[in-house]
Amino acid sequence: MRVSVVLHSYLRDLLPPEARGVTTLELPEGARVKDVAARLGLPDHAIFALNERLARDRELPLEDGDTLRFLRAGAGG
Amino acid sequence: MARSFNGKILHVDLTRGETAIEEPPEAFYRTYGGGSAMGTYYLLRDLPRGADPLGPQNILTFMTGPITGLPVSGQSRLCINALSPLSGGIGDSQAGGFAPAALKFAGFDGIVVKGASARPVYLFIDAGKAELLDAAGLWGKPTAEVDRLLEEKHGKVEVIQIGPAGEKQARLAAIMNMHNRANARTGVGAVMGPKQLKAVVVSGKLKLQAAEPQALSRQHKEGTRNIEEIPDMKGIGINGTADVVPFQNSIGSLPSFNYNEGAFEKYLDLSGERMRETILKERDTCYACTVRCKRVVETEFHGQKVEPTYGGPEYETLATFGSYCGVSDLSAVSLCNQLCNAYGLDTIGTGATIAFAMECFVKGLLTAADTGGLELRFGDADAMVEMVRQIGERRGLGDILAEGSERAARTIGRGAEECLITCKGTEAPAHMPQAKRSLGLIYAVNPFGADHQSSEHDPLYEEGVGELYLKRLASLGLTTPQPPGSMTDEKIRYAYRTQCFYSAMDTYSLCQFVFGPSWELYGPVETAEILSAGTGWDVTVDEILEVGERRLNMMRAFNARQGFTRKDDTLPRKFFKPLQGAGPTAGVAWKEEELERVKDVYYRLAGWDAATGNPTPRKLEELQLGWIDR
Repeated sequence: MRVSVVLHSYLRDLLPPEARGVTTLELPEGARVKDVAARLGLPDHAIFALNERLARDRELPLEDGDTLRFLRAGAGG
Repeated sequence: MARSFNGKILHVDLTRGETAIEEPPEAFYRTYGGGSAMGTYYLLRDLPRGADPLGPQNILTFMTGPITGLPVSGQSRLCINALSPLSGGIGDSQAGGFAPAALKFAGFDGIVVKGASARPVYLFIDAGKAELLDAAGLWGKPTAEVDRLLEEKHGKVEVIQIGPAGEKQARLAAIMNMHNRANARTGVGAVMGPKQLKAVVVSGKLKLQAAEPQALSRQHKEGTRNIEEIPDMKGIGINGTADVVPFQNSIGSLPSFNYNEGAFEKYLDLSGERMRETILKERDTCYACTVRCKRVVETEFHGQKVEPTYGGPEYETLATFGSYCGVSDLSAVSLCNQLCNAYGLDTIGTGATIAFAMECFVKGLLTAADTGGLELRFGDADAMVEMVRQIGERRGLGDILAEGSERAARTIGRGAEECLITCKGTEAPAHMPQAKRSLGLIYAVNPFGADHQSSEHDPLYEEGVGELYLKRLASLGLTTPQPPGSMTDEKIRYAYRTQCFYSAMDTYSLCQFVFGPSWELYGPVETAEILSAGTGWDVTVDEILEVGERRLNMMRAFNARQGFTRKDDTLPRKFFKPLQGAGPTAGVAWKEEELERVKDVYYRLAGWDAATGNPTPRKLEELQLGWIDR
């Protein structure tokens, strides 16, 4: 399955600059959020939104066509 | 011997055209800290009962803090207080820049302005001396032009000024410095207009001295290193406050369509990343601060140039002129930001008031006859820009909206108050209490209305937020992170304790992105160390909390005198109706009985009278405030 992954804020540095924080990953069936986090080297404190909603459990299973965003926790403004 | 503060407060009587210098004892500085509590002190002491906020009796204070001007990040902040023209209670607003430090270098820690001049004047302060000069040639001019004219005359100076909106007593008016930093909230800009005080101009190179310069220097260097280590600081440095847009949207806390929805489909167009990729020209800063969170943009919208000199939009501005109004055009939002800075308007109040008017228009409460033919609909960026101009110039519908949405609703009638998002006359900022529950309480009880910078937000007191943040909160006695979306007694305690800490930051005049309870550059313990290194006082975290608590009690006592009671601690009716749309908070609403329950718990924690919500005589005595004439 294919999952769109977007890295926001300073997390973008984990991808090459030309990617502008966006990549598409080919993942095996049954892959979970934690697998993406591990593959891209995301720190433990990075939170994520699955299909535009904040979620907390990295054990969440992914489905083909999902959009997964990694964010910094929200403060300041 | 040089110290970290001057020990001098300048008093200005505009009616008589006189100035005088007060030299309060050091104990006064330690008790009231500076900033907002010091300003409120003079209002409590000297404001006549029944004073008109827009009359000569109102008092306007400009206060810095005890370490403003020292070489450490986050210290150059200016607090302005007055009787608020929006609420009739205490007015309070904060801004950064170089002017706060410059005021200290000019020889004063603060200024207290009374009376009204018979003609436009500006206050010129140079190396400990002050005089009132003719401002006829400055009146009516946009802020950048005024800065240019004053620099032509006086050389390099810092200018704290109102724009045309303040001159015309628009209650949404701000007080600007650098023409891109705003003491914006609670209508303080409108107070300068009737006083005919166009500007405060400061110049001087007096020396300030930290008590322990080496300790301060060590903290400054450590803080600079910490920018890379603390996730939120790194994000704010790279993308400015707009870095928070994707998170806000993901939790349903991005107010959209005048707070009817909590998520905005085109939120990425308003994000800090998009700004950086498209219109960002450079990052800017305040005196001696290494965070560099300020944005400078250059763009144009439909042939109208957005000049770098007016800076760039903060998150709040991106939301109020963006998602509040259903607009996703970053250039249009940036133009509105520029217009607000040029006219001297609060971007939160102005954007939110236009969103209010858009909802009125969509519901038929305003018609084309009221708007001069303008189709004032959500998503119409041209109409939004035009409405900012009308507010700044007080013409057409803008003349009514310049009074703020609460007064505008009364003028419009026809049930327009159902479209309001105000607490104590102040339009709600862009963090939604439907998503961040504790903000529902803080927006309701805060003495100067809905404010997002008066307490730490809910997501910072949740499991998984990070070891450093939780360790810092533990130094405030907050050791039990709460579930997302909860409004438990412990969450109320969190809201109150962090409100006291934030209150202290507005008192010491410290930036709340640099000094704070959890995610900021410096936590509570380092804040105490830096204050100690600067002043030579042995400041503890407990003393900081007490200073913050004292300010809150002073403000509540002021409001009590103005007739405020428990019933004024409420939320707009809209917040008790389920949110619309499809975002994460769709269907979520506050319940009136829940608000009353959390207020009970909060008043108990604060030691206030449950029936009135006001400080008890005993509480005031406990905080050395027994002198307040209630």
